[in-house]
Amino acid sequence: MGRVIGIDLGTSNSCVAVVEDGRPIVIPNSGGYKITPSFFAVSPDGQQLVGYPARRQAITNAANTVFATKRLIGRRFGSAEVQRSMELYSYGIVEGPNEDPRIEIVDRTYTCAEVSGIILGEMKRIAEAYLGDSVEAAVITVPAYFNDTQRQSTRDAGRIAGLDVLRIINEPAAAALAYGMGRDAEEKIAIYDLGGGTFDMSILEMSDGVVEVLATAGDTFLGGEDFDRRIVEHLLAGFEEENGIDLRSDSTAMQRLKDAAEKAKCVLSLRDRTEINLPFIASDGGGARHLSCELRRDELEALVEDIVDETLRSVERCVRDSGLSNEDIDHVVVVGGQSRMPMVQQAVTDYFEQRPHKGVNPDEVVALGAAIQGSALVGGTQDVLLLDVTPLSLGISTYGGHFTRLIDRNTTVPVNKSHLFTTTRDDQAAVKIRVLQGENEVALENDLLGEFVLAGIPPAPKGEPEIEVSFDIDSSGIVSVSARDVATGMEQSITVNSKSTLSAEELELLIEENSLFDVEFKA
Amino acid sequence: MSRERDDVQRAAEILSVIPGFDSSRLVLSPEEGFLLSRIDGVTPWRLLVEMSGVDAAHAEQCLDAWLVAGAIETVAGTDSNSIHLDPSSTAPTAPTERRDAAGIDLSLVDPSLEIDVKTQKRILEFEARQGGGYHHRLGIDPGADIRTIKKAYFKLSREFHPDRFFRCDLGPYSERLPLIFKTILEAYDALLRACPADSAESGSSTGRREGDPPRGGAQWNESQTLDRSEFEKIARLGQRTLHNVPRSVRDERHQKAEEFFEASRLSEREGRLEEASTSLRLAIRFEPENLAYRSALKDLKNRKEELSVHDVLDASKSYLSMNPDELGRTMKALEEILGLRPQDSGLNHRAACVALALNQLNRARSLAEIAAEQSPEVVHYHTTLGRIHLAQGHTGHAKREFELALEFAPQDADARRELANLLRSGREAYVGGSRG
Repeated sequence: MGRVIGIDLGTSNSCVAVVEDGRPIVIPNSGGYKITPSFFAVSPDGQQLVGYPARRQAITNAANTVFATKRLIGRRFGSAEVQRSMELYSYGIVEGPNEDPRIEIVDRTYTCAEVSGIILGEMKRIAEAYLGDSVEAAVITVPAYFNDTQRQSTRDAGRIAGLDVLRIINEPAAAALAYGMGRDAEEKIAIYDLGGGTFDMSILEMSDGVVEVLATAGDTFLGGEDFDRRIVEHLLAGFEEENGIDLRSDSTAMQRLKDAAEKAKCVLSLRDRTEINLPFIASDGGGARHLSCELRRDELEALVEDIVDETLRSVERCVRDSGLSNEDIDHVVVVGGQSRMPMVQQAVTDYFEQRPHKGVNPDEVVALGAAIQGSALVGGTQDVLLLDVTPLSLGISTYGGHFTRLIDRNTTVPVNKSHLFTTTRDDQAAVKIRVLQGENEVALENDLLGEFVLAGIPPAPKGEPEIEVSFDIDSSGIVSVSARDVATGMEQSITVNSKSTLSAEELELLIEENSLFDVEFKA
Repeated sequence: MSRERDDVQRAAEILSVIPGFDSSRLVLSPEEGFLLSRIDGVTPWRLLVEMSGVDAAHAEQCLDAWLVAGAIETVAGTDSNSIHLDPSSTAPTAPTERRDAAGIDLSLVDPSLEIDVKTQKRILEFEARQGGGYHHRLGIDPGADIRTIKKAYFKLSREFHPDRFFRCDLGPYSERLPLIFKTILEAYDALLRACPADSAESGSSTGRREGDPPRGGAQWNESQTLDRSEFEKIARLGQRTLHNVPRSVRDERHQKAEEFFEASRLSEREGRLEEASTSLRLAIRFEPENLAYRSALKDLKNRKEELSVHDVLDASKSYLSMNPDELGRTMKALEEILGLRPQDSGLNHRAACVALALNQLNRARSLAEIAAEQSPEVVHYHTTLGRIHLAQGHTGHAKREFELALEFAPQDADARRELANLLRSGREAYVGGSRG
């Protein structure tokens, strides 16, 4: 196998790395930047733009510039997160045939996996240009708290980009691999990963290159985007009060506000105050209106305080799940662009009563870890091993709409567990096994991964038959479930990971379509 | 070709019966029958010969004859270093076997695989340690503290985690390696939970330390058959709350499970398979997390199935001389075993023959089609299918099947006669047709 690249596919920015001569390095794009915006756009003349060029024209072409698809991928169209995104984003989001959200811009409708695939394809090209060789295999990172469908869709995106996705790994675990590489000490570390769109918290233990994930918690819809949004809301309210004009329906103005908010946020990580100037933001009978105001750091902190508090709740749960207490943590590592904010740093410091470790670049460490894992899988890096966990509990729906867990969250994979179940009616001939993922006691509230029926149970009084349900997760995170009637030995099973929001034909078509545009690399 | 091999290589050869081969085609003495029935695709030929008591020269003649008859084949890629696929097999070991200092059978190591010889030896070593308790599995002393347990777990993980062998061609190890890691993980989890220091650290962990008693939902779906017997009651209770009970009780359960496991091995050796599986089930009840018991039960189930296939095939051999009642019973027995092994071409073919004798032509046809599809190289499956087509009046289909049979075996008398008959009657029918 050739070189394996590691890709951190972020909500706002993406980063690609590779292991060279035993050391992981970040690959800069053609502009010399180590991170590339996860932006995709179609310009008015029909040209496809990715990365910085797409981001640069976002203000003038807001309706056809797509970003933050990571917040949509693998979700149901009807979910609260997608509905909220529809209010926030200026590009069109429509319902696809599999209840999945799809993106509608000028030329056509794209699936989320397709847009992510375009970004991944760009990262692949960046790596190929740097290495002077074609790249086929990759390890891609996702938030630890991504569920099965979101992971599967990300895998599809990789395939659309023409990549052999060796493994999908969790961002905090990747960060830990990069942090732990070359460190022999036995350590327990906490990784606080606040990115553009998602928040992850993990506690890991490492020794001699083995990284064991003890616990993981997080929120896949909480990140820098929400900080920006708060600033935008603040500016909108101020402008409306002053001028009586609501800018929400003006997509160009909204895009300018979003841009200005993000810039102001970054400046406020370094300074106490900043000016926001947006001339000609609107016009009415009285002529052109300008937005001009000052934003102070303490104002911003008041706006987002509850979001930071929200992350601490996940931190607390994660620590509790790990079976450790705060004092047991040797180092705290903060990852993700939003973690640069002083308030966030302070909150983490206060919680763990120690300052975060300074030795890693929060934007790059995840991609570096992904490259290390890729190299380890193909036998290039022998001295690291990642013992990953399943982030969400797995189980089945049982009588009364309850969710019965078979595999608890934070269980090391590969694993298999089984349990006996029985019938609830006399002479019941069949049982339906609904495979669920989540933490809610009510079955309906969790994600349905798949279902199947075990029929042909011989007539017997209720409670008599013994049905053994077994769950198996392999080290790639692929879940298979089987049900067996103990008396007859009859068995039914499914591999639930094969489910994705794209149908198999659709995926094949996209892969083929994409490969048509492939340019053979000339060495 | 096989005649040219030297004797040493030949002795280590592993053979398997070609699926769908109908052993009734061979005329065998009881000794020879025993020898043939022991060919399992796993055990080296020399061991089989020793077990059977057939004299070596005679055995070699049989081997030649069966190879030529297409009854058996050599398993691909075997040589004098062949892997013994099933380490739990109770087959007696040969006196010539080499063992290293750790008692590992070196003949099981295969240098041609993608995993190096050292790792293979470590795998065999680890598997040999499986009988003991959790500490023994991890290679640590019973009194070990958390740190030692962790160290041992990390070290073993570095060796045996499936990622270490990502997309490697593991040959016979491909199914065993994941199992090994799971065994390590299971021992680690159990020991960690049992460690007093750990339980004192945090009582509220919802994470991996808690183990697997499912929560949520009350009486509705958990098995309610507790009163079946005293043993089962305790064991089931154990399954629900295994990880909350004191260590002494768990050790006791482990002890009990081991006893049942031993008993099952004894029963199995003496051929009482039903009894063996009852004992194994009890062992699993006492220690449901022990994967070794489960895989033993699976092996046993396979063995039982093979035996019953053999029995049913044997009993149905004389279907041509049966009365309709007997035929019906035979058919039922065949269908039953087919439910377990729907792909077995020999079974499908026999069932097709019986169905034909019962004049259930549609059923016969679908069965024969499965047989011919599974093992298209077996001549008489085509012949049988042709006969069924003929009985249904589909002469075109029948002709094609007979021709197919002759393509595989131009000398096959049965198929040739059938085809000749068909051609003769076909001409008559054709002539008759043109007159009308």
